[in-house]
Amino acid sequence: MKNVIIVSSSGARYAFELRWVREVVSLGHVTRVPGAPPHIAGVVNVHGSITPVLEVAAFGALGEPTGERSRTSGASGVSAGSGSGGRPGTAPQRGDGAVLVEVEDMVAAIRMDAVDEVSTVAEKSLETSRPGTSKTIAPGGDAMVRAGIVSGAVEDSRGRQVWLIDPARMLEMAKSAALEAGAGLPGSARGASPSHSPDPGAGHGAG
Amino acid sequence: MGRDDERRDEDFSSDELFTLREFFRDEAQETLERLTGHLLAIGDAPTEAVLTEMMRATHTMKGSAGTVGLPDLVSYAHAIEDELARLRGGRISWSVEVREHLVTIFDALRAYVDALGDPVAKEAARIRLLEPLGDLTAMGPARSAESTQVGVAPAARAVTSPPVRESGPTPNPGRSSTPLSNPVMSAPAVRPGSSGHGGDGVVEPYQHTEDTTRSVVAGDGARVSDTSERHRRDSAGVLRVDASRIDHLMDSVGELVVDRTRIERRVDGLRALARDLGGAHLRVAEHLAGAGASSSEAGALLGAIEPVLGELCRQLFHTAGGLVDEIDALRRTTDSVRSGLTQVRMSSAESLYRTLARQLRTIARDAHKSVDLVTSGAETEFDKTVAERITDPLVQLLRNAVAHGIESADERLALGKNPRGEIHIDARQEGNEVVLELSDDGAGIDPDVLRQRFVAQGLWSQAKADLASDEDVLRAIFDPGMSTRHEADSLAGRGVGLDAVRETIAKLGGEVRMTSTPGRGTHFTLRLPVSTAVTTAFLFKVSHDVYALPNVHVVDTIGIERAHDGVGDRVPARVEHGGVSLPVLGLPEILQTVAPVEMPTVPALVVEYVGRRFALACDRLVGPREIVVKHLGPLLASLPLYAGATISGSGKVQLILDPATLVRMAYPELPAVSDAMAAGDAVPRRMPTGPVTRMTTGPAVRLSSGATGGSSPGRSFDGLGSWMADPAVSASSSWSSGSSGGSEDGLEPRDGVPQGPAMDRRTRPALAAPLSPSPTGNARPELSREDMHSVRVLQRPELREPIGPGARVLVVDDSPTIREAVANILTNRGYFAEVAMDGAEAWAMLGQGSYELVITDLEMPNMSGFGLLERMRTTSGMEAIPVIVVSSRDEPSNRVRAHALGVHGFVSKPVTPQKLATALKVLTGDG
Repeated sequence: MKNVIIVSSSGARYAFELRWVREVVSLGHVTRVPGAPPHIAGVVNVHGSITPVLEVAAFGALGEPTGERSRTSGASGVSAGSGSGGRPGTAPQRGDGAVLVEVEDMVAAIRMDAVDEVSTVAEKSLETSRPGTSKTIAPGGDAMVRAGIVSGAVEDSRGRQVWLIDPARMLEMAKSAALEAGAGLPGSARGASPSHSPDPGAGHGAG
Repeated sequence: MGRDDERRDEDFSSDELFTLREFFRDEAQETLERLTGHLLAIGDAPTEAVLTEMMRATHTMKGSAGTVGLPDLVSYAHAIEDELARLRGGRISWSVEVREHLVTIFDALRAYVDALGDPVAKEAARIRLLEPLGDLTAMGPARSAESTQVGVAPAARAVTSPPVRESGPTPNPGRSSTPLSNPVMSAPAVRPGSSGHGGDGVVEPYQHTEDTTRSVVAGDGARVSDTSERHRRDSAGVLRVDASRIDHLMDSVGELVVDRTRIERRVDGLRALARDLGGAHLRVAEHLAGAGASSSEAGALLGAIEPVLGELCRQLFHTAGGLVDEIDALRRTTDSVRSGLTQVRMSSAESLYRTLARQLRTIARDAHKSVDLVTSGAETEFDKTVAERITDPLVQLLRNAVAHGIESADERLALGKNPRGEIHIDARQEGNEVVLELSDDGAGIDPDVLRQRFVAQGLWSQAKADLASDEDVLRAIFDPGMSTRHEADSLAGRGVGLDAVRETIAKLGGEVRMTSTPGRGTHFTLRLPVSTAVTTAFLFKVSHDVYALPNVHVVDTIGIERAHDGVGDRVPARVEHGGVSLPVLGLPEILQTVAPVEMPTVPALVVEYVGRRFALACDRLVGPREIVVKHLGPLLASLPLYAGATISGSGKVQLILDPATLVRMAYPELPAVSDAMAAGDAVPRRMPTGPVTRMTTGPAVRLSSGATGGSSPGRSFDGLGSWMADPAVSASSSWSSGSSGGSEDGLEPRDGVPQGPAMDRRTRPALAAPLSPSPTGNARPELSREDMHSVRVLQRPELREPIGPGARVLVVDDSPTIREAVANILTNRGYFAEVAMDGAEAWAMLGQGSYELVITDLEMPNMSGFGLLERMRTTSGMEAIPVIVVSSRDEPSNRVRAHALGVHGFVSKPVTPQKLATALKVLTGDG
């Protein structure tokens, strides 16, 4: 049995084990982070600390982040769901609800629309709840299962199947996507070109 | 010479004692907590094993207390040990009362240890302690004056009286006739009315036992919970607090500021309402005046309301105005809390200097060079985080200075320089910055040599080398890939790590510059923020978002005219500033926004980062502000564009751009950072670990703290003792105080060992000759000092060569205080001490490193000293490592056993510098 919080977000429903959830918060101003992978919708001030905001559906839409550069890979995993969270224009904003999850030293706010219930439920195997067998499957579901973000399924109080999200995997993915995004900029060791082009600036810089 | 040594070595200096007592305080608290834990876990009756373990722990504490010169605690521990021995021997039967009693004693002892630095509190704690301690055997059958020992050390004598002789659990009744030299007294002496010893320092215990006990327990309950929260008070009334707690408070203050801002906005709204209401009132009044006398019923009503409305308006204005005043008061308070919290995080440069002195010593030794460290400005304060992060870069600079700056002694003599090199470090505060200057008097760096190297290595074209100014060349040495790796030795290639040094300093929001005069030395200037938590940042807007850049890097603000080209208006790629053409970075482009308004002039910051300038075009300048810097957290830390974030007054997150990244965008030709920094990127804000870093961060290996020793300024460098392949040459430290601190001779009597044994050996070829080539060691000097009870020389493996200053010594003891004390003594005499906390750890370390000497305790958990000795003596390669035993188990049986295992010395606890020095002399051949 698992203690879970079931939330709805962009038309889909997800369950999070309570052991990962620190609290449910209302988001303040969400600051965009240029250069961050699309997994990370922005940062927000939660009790004075800088907290990244994530959207579950974005992970489904983005597929596995270890592939090619993330901005272009978005299309691969998008299914015909109604409310794709990764779509521009639906970015999290002030006043949105969020589940604050904490995994080891990482904290993130996962945006959601509403808390449906908090309950103790039995976990079902993922096989019995493959996409298509349930009416409440999120968009990009296959990609999310593949990526391990969906670790299983549970049944809510009305017998509906809800996917169990693994926040640890989610944060891990966001982190590696950020690492990869960082590698593309000249500030990073891996991204910088080793070639030494002719130097137009040196020699007559600040004297 | 030797006599000088002895005089100096007789005792720890007051500074050393202070440091050692801090160690002791932690150790004693931990021991007492453990003892209490054992007690509380005992059910019907304690097992012999538990009692033995408790006795061992008490005994260890006793030895440590003696070493740090706390004889009163020695006697208290002794009394407890006796009581435990009686319990184990069955002379006292276990009961709940016994347990409660011991718990009370342990609690009182903890309070006493806590109060050590405060004479008044200490006295009070001592009084509370004496009562239960005096009653120690009241419940037991073995109640007699002879078997009861209670320590009453007159405070005045406690410090100066010689350490208590440990003569086993049975006290010698004859001893009581010498209370002045022995603080151990018999219990009845402290009883009221029987103060036969006329103790000026003897304090009578409280009469009301129950009250006393209760108050101790109650008072102590609070303190215990305090301890559990990792708060410890040290002698100066200083609290040690987990840094994360302060960060948390800092976050809360930030929230407070956000809340205040929200209130401010509400008040602004209130004032606007009051103004509107005032306007309405005015219109009513005008209307009434125009209409003359109240001509209608409505008019009459209005006339009645008007004065009420006016009064309400006045009150509303008044209230809103008062609120504004109160918000001002709130602002002052939050500012004061914030600056107070910032102050809490401050530490002086002194501890940094200590670390550097220690590191320089190792570095200089490995390079076979003599270098003095001269420091000033030790009182300069800066953020502990800054101090921690700046340590590795500074060590790297020291390493470079020793490896490539400072010449060998012969070269220096030939150049007319002092054969001993000198490195100066100065710290001072300038506004919101700390300026650290580090200079050496070595060979300096010749820009022409660098030019040739850059060209030879294909890093620069000849044309570029010719064009570049000397300043440019020196600046380029900080660039990644500019290191002269093919020449790098184990220490440092000149330039190796400089890119990392710059990177680390820049990440802290600081700057480093270098100047060099060939033949005269190299000078580094580091500018660092006083605090990493609060700093001044320049704020600007791009699109709708506010961004920040550390103000230290912003040198100017300018307007850039848009250039017209075929496509349309655009920000030019370069701009003239101060007669120099600078590359322009367009932030809207980098931050993936569209410039909202096409202004003819674009505002821009001129940013300088490690000597390279560029212009940063944004949408609107806001200006410099003091901000609280926050980490982005592990998820976003890898994004190179940002150095952190801050939270605005209204609670919005504002990102701080990383100038290190921007400068690489502006100067794409800057080579990629070295592999070392790539590793550093994965763990942001960490320096790559070099050999020395490993040494200091390893779990067990730790160089002792405190001052390093030095060697003689008059040392001869004639190669006299060529057998001394590894001279004990090293840094002397004069870091202690003031800008004039020993800069003349580079030595301070307390820290330096100018006439140390190393000197002796060098200047005595007659002794050196027979010692060196022959492993027989027949030249071993007179060793027998059997008359000295503290040190005995026993039969042992032959000494293959003298072991003196410069030797690598492994110190094994389960007491951190003793480890620190012994390591301190060794370090002060020029040895290199590493420590292990028990035999097992020592065994593991012996397998990995080569040690020339082991100094070990006997009783330790996991593996005892005997266990270690036995293993060493039966292991090839280790059987000949000399061993000195430091133990409070001074019984003949232990000596016999140690003898059988061939130890070279037996030092009884408490350890004093003198005792250890005597034992060490046996090994140097100076006995």
